[in-house]
Amino acid sequence: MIFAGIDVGSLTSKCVLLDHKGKVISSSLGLVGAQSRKAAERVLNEALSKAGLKLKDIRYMVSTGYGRGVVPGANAEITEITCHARGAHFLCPEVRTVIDIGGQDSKAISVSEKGRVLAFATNDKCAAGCGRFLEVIANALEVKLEDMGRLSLQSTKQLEVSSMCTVFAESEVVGLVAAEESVPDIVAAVHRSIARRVRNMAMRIALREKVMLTGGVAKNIGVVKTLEEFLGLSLVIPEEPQLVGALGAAVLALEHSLNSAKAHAANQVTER
Amino acid sequence: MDVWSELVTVTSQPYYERLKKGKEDAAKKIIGCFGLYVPEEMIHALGMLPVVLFCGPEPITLGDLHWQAYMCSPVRGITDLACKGQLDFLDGMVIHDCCHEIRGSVDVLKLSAPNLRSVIKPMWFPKILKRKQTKPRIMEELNIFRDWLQQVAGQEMTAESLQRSIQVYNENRDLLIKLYDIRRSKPGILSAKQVQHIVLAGMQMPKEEHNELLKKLLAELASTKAPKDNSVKIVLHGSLCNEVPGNILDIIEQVGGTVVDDDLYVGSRYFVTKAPLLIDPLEALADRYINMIPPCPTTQNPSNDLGQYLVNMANRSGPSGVINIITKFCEAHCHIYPWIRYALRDAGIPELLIETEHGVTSFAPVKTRIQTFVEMIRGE
Amino acid sequence: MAAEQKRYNRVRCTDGISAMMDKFYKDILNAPSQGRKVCWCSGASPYEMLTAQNVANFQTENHSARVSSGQDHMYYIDKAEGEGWPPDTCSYTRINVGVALFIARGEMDKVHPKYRVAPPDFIFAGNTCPAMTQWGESLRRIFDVPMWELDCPFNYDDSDERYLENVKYIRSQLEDFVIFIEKNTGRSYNWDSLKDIVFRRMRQVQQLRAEIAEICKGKPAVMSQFDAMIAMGPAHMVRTDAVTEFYKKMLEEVKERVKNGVAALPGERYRLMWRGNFPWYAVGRMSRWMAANDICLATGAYGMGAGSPHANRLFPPDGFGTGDDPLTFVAWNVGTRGYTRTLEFKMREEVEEFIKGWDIDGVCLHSPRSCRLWSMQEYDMANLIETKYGIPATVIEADHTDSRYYTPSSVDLKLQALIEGIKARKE
Repeated sequence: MIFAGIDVGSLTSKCVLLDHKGKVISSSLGLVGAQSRKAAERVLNEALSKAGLKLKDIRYMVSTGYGRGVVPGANAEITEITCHARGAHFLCPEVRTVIDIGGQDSKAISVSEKGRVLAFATNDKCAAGCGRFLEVIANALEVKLEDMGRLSLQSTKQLEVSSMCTVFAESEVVGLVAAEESVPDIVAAVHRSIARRVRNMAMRIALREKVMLTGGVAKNIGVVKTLEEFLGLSLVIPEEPQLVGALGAAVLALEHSLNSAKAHAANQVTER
Repeated sequence: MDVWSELVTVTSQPYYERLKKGKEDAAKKIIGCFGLYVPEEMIHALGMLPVVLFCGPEPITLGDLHWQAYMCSPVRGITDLACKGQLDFLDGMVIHDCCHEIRGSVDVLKLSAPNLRSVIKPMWFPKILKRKQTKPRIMEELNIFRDWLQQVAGQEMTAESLQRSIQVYNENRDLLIKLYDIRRSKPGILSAKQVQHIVLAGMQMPKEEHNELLKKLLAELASTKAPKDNSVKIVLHGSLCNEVPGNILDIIEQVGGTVVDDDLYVGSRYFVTKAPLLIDPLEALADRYINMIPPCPTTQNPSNDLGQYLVNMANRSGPSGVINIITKFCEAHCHIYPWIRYALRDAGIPELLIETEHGVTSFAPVKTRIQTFVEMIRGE
Repeated sequence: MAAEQKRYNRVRCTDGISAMMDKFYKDILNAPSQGRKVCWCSGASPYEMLTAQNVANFQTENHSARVSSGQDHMYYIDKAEGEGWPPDTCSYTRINVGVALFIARGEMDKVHPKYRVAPPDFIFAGNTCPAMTQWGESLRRIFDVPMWELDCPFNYDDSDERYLENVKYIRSQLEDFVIFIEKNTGRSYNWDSLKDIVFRRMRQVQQLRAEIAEICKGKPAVMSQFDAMIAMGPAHMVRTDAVTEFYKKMLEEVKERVKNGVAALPGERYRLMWRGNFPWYAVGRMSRWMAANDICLATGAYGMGAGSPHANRLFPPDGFGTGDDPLTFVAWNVGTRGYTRTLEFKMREEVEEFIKGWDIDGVCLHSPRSCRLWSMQEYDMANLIETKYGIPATVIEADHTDSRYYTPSSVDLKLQALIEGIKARKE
């Protein structure tokens, strides 16, 4: 019996499979492109095939993310906020706050000791403060996205990139390049800008430790260090920060399945 | 025709198209009301039709020539309609100064809509409600307003006609209050969108006709059972001078919420305060404004706190969650929102903020937030 | 390059403003230890009524502008936004609420010494700008102190008759305000002091500012709008004789400059007017940029306001009101600025007078993202200016105290385009 969680985000889709004991059997990640449904199928099939399993082995599936409505075969659709809380709790039960910096939105979630959502704040209106922002800047600076973190650690001068808007922030960066400021300094300024936005969003909920950072941007050491500095604490970074949502969805799949089994058993008892 | 068909006739097309067509048949003069607290009874007393103005469904284009993108959509949208000539059918347009943008729109509309220039009538009511100077000043404004209305109508307003209009309006308020009582006691008996349609229709049609529709509807609802479900109860607040996008109301229900009460403009804020029965009907209208039940952030009355008002509303239907809807860029709402948030949080009532904008077609982020809110309340 | 080093020739007397304002705010911080009550005020309201009673008072907008000029605004904005104030709220409010939240919670140590003020014993707010009473309401709740608000009617009808009715309405409230002040200071009102402030000090300062503005109309300008804006703080808030002395010095200096042929911007080529409040965090940057491009920012109601007829209506015409009744004059003054006036009034008294008086080549209209008072109607104003006066006008979107809304490349581009428009018209 397998429990599946599928997270179809704006840029990537992810799948995690758990067994009935709650152990992670397999996972996969892929780009979404223009077709959410196909992306969901692809990533599910990949995870199944890695574990040598078939679709019929899946007992319960929860879909989450932007494209959760188009995942074929999903038994329930649950938001990525609830799923991130659950997934973070699964990985680290001491986590009480999750900050997720995704491709096009970011969120801060206050988590109970049972992994439930107590409060949340999102930034979903604007890409500044999200992964997309970093991509745009990386492009403008002709730097690889995966090198941004390492580069920023070489910064020696504090610059300011303060705009609320990705488009205008990009023009600020262009201005800094024209003024011959160094790339590490500019990247560090961009990281500070994201960290500030994320910190401000997180302040809207009661921030409690431990705080886990999830999402692709958690792989950027520069953003991590700057955010730690702004928050005044150390962040918990999972091994696979992009899979936390899908993991949470899989955990919920397992829970839902157990609950309905219990309910069924109770009905049987009552009927007797 | 059944109640719903009649209501749909009113709300399914843009109001300005419907009213323009209607004017060709009937000679009734139409006075547009922009901004809160326009004393519609006075318009009604002169046999004219007061119509609350809203933006239309079309994208704002010409309106943006006069307003920056960060001005609120009611003002940009109504300017847009005016520029496009869609409001030319109005015989008068009353603009009540309740905030900066609406205040500024008086001059902008005069410049941008030449056909409306001579029929625009600004009004200013005191914003500090409980002072000795408040009522005399309001009475001054009401007298000036009456003089202007009489000119437009070409006849005099008598105290008797105004008393009658107040009675008609109060009857309308009583019927809507009853409707809300039924909805509260039978959650899900009407969808949130249906309720908004009902209130909206009344804002743009003769009150007598609306009263008849409401009576029929209440009779039907009396014998209707409420759906049994375990949906999460939601109280809506906000959208202070604007409709709530229908998509958002649908989403609440799609994700397992049921709206059981509201403090919305196209909702209880519009009708919950009745005019008292006084010998002087103008004084009654002044009192209605001074003693408004839902606290309004555009006015000051420290003894009437909006946060506490919402806590009480939520508790009345509880346990429930409150969704605060701010029309993006609404300044007054921005100033009061932190206090609403503190009050609800201190009372242990779950709270969510949604900002709405005109012309938004993608509701996925809003759906995620509302769905998470419902999941959170359920303890998912 | 020489052009990049070109700077405005600041009037020397403004060097003293920083010290004057530091002292002003320090006095407010120390007021309780001197047995004085403290009032935080907002809106373009008659603070002189508090000064007369020796209540330490300041305009919270000015305080926020100071924080932003010092580039320290984000710290307080972050605080306010973190507690739920939406970023669309006026940035003056967000900064001030940030400061207030620290002070009210006994965290004065988290406020930079330069910005520390004593917590208020009461709040005074006037709604010439509707947001001001809403902001005052937040301060009332944060500090849990009494608040008194002045309700200011909007003058849709520009007639003198209607204005008079509104003055009466305001005056009637000010009588109540006097009672409020007496109750909260525990002593009877000092009418002599109010009369002295209104009829002597403020009149003197007003006359001096009007004289200075008149001199500044000359070409080349001997003093810029930058200097005039910086000098506004004392004019609006500090009601001591030191302010009169300051303006006397300023008048001497501008007269001296005329005599010696000293210009605010040597080689001034373009004379611009600034409409509205200013991005306070960018004063240095913008003055350097404008200087480098031979732009003299010569005037604007916000700084050179004393030079306009409506400002000269600070004191009503002879025969109006009751003799030496200070409350009538105070009430009269509330509506003289454009906050509660029609577009027609503003165009006439806040735009035309300056364009003509200073022989302006082009107009910048500042459109602050979080301030509706100064943003609204600006697209129409720009059109009217171009149509009526034949000079280019540009709307510059930024913000008065939230630098996140200021994009240097965008602002520079607008100014450059304005200059090109001016050049094209001159050729």
